[in-house]
Amino acid sequence: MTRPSINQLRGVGDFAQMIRWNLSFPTLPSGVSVGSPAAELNLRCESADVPKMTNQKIETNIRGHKVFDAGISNYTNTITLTFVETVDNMIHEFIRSWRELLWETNTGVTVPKTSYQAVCMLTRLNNQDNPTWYYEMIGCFPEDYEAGGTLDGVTSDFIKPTLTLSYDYFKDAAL
Amino acid sequence: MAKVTINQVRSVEWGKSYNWDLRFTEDQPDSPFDEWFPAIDVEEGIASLETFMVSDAFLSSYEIPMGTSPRTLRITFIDDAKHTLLSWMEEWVNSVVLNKRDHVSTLEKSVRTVMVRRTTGNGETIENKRIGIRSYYVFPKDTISYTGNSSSDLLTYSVTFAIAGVSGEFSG
Repeated sequence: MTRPSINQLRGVGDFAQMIRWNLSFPTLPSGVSVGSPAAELNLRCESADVPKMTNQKIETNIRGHKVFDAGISNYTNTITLTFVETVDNMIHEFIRSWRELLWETNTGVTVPKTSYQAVCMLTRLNNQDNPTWYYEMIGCFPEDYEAGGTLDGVTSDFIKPTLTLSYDYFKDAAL
Repeated sequence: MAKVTINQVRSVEWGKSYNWDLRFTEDQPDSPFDEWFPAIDVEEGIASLETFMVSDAFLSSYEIPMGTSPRTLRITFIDDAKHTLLSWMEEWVNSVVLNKRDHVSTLEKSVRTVMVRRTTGNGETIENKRIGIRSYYVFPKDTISYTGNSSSDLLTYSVTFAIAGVSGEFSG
């Protein structure tokens, strides 16, 4: 079999680009501040992990013969979103208000899971910015976050908070 | 006799420890555990054989089969925020069996039926009449305790059930 030719490569079509995507939250808990409109979160989201699933393979080792079976498949169960903060503290307020649902400051009051979980969606776009693929993460809540860097007197950069969301599972498919 | 080959090892569909199901089929707990049971571990006494030690007059001894001993079923499960299963177990022991400390019910009234099923990867019962599905008449034994602590964990219970009988087609 010969190598692929340049015209075969040219005929593959448009390659998917890393920069074409959107973030949205089809379901967010009431009480979580997202600014107005909610699409502001998408504007400020600089990068996003993509969810995946790994298989916990099982080893059978009998007298030197090692073979593997597929075992339990696990979702990564977390994704990290990196935002750029604005001086109205929209991202900080988004994280703080969601965090308060999980564990209220001072009292430790927690709302039920049905009231603090969200659905988070990442949509990939083609070169005409039409949706081509989606990842829908179900059961999202903030597991960890970083405020966006160390406050100092020499760094010329924006504050970029990161938010690690826990999710139960995801669905993905072509659109 | 030839050594085992890797293709012999590859040709076997090996059993996996997570392919099982368990549920109570009579007098089930309240919803949502009337349809499924949140067991995370099960230890099922399948067969038990007691032996008798025979010692001869000289230097040796050996064992012969003598009889069987009671079997148990140990289930580890997690409970919901309403403590549905703890409440169900407490009612079983203190009301159904002990009749609020008035008298002890008969064995027939004390037991409930639990089914343990071994499944294939797609959730179907394995094709093995002796071991595929086993239903037992059981009652909880020992103390059932609630343990509260200060860690970020689920409410987990391990309860041992005495097996009072086997129901269904297989009566071993």
